[in-house]
Amino acid sequence: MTTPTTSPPAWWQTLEADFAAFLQTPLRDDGGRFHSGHEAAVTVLPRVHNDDDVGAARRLALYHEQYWMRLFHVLQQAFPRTSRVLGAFTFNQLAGAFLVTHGPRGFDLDDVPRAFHPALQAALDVLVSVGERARTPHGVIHDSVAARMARVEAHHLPVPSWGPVLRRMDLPWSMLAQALSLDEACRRAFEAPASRPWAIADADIDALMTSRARVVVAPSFSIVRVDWDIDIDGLAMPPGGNAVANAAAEDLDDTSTAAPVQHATAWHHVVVHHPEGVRHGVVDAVLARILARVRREDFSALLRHVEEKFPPGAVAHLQHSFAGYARLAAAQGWWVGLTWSRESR
Amino acid sequence: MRPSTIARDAVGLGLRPVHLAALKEGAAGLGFVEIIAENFLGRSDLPRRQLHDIAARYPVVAHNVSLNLLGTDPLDRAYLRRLRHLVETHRMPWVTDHLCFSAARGIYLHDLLPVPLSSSLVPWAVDRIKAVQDALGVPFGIENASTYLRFADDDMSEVAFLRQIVEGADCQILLDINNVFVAGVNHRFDPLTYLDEVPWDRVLYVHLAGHLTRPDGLRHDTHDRPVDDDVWALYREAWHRGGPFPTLLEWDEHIPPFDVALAEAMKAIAVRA
Repeated sequence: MTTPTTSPPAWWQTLEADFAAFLQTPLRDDGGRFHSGHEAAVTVLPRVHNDDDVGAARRLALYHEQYWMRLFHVLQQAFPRTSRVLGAFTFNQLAGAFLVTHGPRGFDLDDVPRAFHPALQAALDVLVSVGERARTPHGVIHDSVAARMARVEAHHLPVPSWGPVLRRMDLPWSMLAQALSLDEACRRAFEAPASRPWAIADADIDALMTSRARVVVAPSFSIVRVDWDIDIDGLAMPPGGNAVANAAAEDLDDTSTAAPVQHATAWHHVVVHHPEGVRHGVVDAVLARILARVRREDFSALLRHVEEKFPPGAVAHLQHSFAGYARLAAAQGWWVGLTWSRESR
Repeated sequence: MRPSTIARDAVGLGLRPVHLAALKEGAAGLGFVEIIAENFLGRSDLPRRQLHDIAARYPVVAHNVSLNLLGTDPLDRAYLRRLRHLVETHRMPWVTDHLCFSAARGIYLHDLLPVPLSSSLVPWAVDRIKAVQDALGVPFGIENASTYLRFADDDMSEVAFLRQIVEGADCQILLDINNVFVAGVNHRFDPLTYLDEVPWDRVLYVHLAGHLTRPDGLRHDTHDRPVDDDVWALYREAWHRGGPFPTLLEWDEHIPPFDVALAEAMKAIAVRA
């Protein structure tokens, strides 16, 4: 590749920089909507042709609003549930404050949500670290984002200007956390390699159940526990809950909040990158438990866990059901193969 | 089986994910497909796998929005290398981007931003475009962008600016008929005069799209509706001046079912008859 040998005119370097700085000036959000404030254009306004009814300020405002709305749209698309629980206006306030210091630094627009998630997650982590949950006599937790933020200094947030916005958020912080987790699971699945359905053999299932082998989980696979009605995909809870499922919901996710369930029982969302695209569904609590634990332990350890934690009969239920669950997990691309123990080789 | 070339009178569509299934089944009369290249250069492999299936059936051309042709930041060499690999993988006959700047001081602004129509900017643009063309190894075309403002120090018309640059860089043109119309209304020039000055021998293909008329009278290049009747009329004039040329419809918001989008693109054949 050749390298340009000329230099850009100095006047153009200045104008380009001024124009870009104008675009990146935050929109005003008074009056319940985002709009360009004419004061933002003060540097570039004299450089714009201005001899008609429309006016240079309005022409500049079109570019100004277009820059921000495109980025808001990208983030809303990447975090649809988070945007829904916060409300689009509040979500855009958080997005705007973030983008002031984290403007896009590459041609790939997906860089924007890729950077936004850790920042919002870090803010939620700050809320997690604040105090214990407060329960009412009825067991309902009034532990809103606002209540927790009342105990947080804004400078502890990754984006300090988020403080005033979050202090107005009267929604359970776990709802926000779960929405963000599910959105991020879908986003990460999109970027991870796809996994093909696997026709698991009876011999493979036998090897799993005798702990001679362990499951290889698809790199794109995630499971997210959700207590709230934040679904945007029209999913339905699978039928056939059972005693194990209902008793087991608590320890599936170590970071779960035991926040009040709006669903009758927690929903366990599974996300994977299938060759045809990202697939998202809901599984029952027993399968959710299996899917979560097989990442880190073999079948015998799973049985011991069930034996210790669940009512009599749960072990027999698991042994009876496991083959069916394994075939489903393989067919859906959640499991992609086996890794064999040394003794089995 | 994919045709080996794009016919001079071909009609094409911009590839949008909602149309993938229909495109895989086959679309009668569709002569080529255009991709927004940046959408196929990210981390996810999914768009590239999908493109593989489409490129097996249709000729594909690469259209870009982030090369920052007239900006002053250094050209993104990693981006250009990845783009070249994509172009070679799918045997794309040419690559295009816009007459604009789209990044500054390390920030990608993800918009097609206006540049001063100044003779003193032409050498810079020519030099940058030569470097891009050299990096890509296939013919490179510049598209006239929709614009909503002019700068106070402009010293030439847009088409004269475009012409000087493409002749200096010895590159091609992607002429957006909708953008000529939109700019004509927004800046009060006669779009027919614009067409008269286009060097038609350099036109790779033309774009069509829908636009919005705002309450303040500005035309906004929204790509969210059918092509305006006035733009169809301008397309007919363009065909009479410089046709035949491949014609492509862009539709990016409120995207209709595939059959509707294809029918809108195919109107071009009747309009120019």
